[in-house]
Amino acid sequence: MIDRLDLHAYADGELSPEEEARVERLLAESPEAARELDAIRHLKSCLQTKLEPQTNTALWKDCLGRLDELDKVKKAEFFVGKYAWALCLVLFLVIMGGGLLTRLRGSIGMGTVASYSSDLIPIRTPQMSQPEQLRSWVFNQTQQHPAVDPDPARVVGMWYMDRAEGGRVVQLRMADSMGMVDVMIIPNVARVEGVQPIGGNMFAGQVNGLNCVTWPDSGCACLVIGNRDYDQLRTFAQSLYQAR
Amino acid sequence: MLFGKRNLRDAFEKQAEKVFPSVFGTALRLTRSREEAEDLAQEALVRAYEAFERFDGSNFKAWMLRIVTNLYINKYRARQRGPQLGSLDDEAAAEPVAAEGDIPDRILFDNAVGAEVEEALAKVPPDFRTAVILSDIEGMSYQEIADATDVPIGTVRSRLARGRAMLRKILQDYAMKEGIIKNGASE
Repeated sequence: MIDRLDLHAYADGELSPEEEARVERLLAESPEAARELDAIRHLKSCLQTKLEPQTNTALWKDCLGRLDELDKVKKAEFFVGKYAWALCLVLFLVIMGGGLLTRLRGSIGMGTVASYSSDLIPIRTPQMSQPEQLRSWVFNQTQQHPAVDPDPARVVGMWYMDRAEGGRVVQLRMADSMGMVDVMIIPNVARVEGVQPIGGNMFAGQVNGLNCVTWPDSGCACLVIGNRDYDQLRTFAQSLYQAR
Repeated sequence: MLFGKRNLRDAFEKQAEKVFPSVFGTALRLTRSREEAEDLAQEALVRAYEAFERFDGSNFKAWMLRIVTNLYINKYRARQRGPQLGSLDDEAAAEPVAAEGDIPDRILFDNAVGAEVEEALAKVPPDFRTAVILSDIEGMSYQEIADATDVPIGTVRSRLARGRAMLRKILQDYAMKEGIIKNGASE
């Protein structure tokens, strides 16, 4: 008796040579099995010849489009995956460089300003009666056009200090009816950190516990420091600024 | 993955284009829905492309059809509704393909046209239809079908036997209904 599954496997060419020989012997003895094999072969042939191949050109083009999109995504992922460290490094360097550049381009903190105050060296005040003389003297000291134009009659003392970064810091002590204030001119400094804007181009902060108003002028940072409130310091600073 | 390997894309495209009619045809015969077949074929192609570097290079068509069949079984078939005729438990009962009424198969199959065969095939339950499609239409071996459908070879054998018997019965009923054959004899 022939196994029907073996008959199918025989028709499909899935039997070993020994099994095939056995099935062939049984087929020779069984017309019913031979008819069954014939039916299987006819059915297989029918399925192979009667069914049309399914072509779909539009779908194939769509598929290629999907593959293109996939390639683009993979390309982006590959680039980011491979060069992520480099991108991070570049970003880090840009941040660091930006910070450094800001420093080099003349940004100082209030702590630095305070340290300048303590390192200042007194200068014998020249005898000058005209503002132009004083302006010229300040220019010689700072190599900058003075951002302030102090009244020589009010200057009661002067100090200087040479910065390590270059340029000479000059401080003038000036007196008016409300007492004394210090005017500090720091060359090659665009702005002072740690201060708050108070309108115009002026900023307020504190140096050594004293109120301070600062503003940038001609590549210098100008500071007015004194034991007064910010409005009074700003008025004083504006009078200096306008007198230029 | 495939970035910078244009030759891989070209190799894939070249092979995929050749077997695409089989991929789409199998998808269509499995799902019996043009829309779903298009989705299935496209998804299978994308999956194959993603995995192409892992393809062992032996039989691309069998590999593609395996992906199609796996996707169909895992995703599309679960979505499809309707009664599933024939359980997996009764597969072992192989039915004879040749009917007892001695209807000559030459008459039965020679008179059938493609659309009728497609229609008859669509009526075969999915597990059996899958085996018949992969074996008789696409020419896959039992081992390849077993791999594609994730069942033992013995199950493939019995599914094929039953699937063919069902298909022949459906074609025979159709032929009798249309008057091509009558009571087991040709007209």
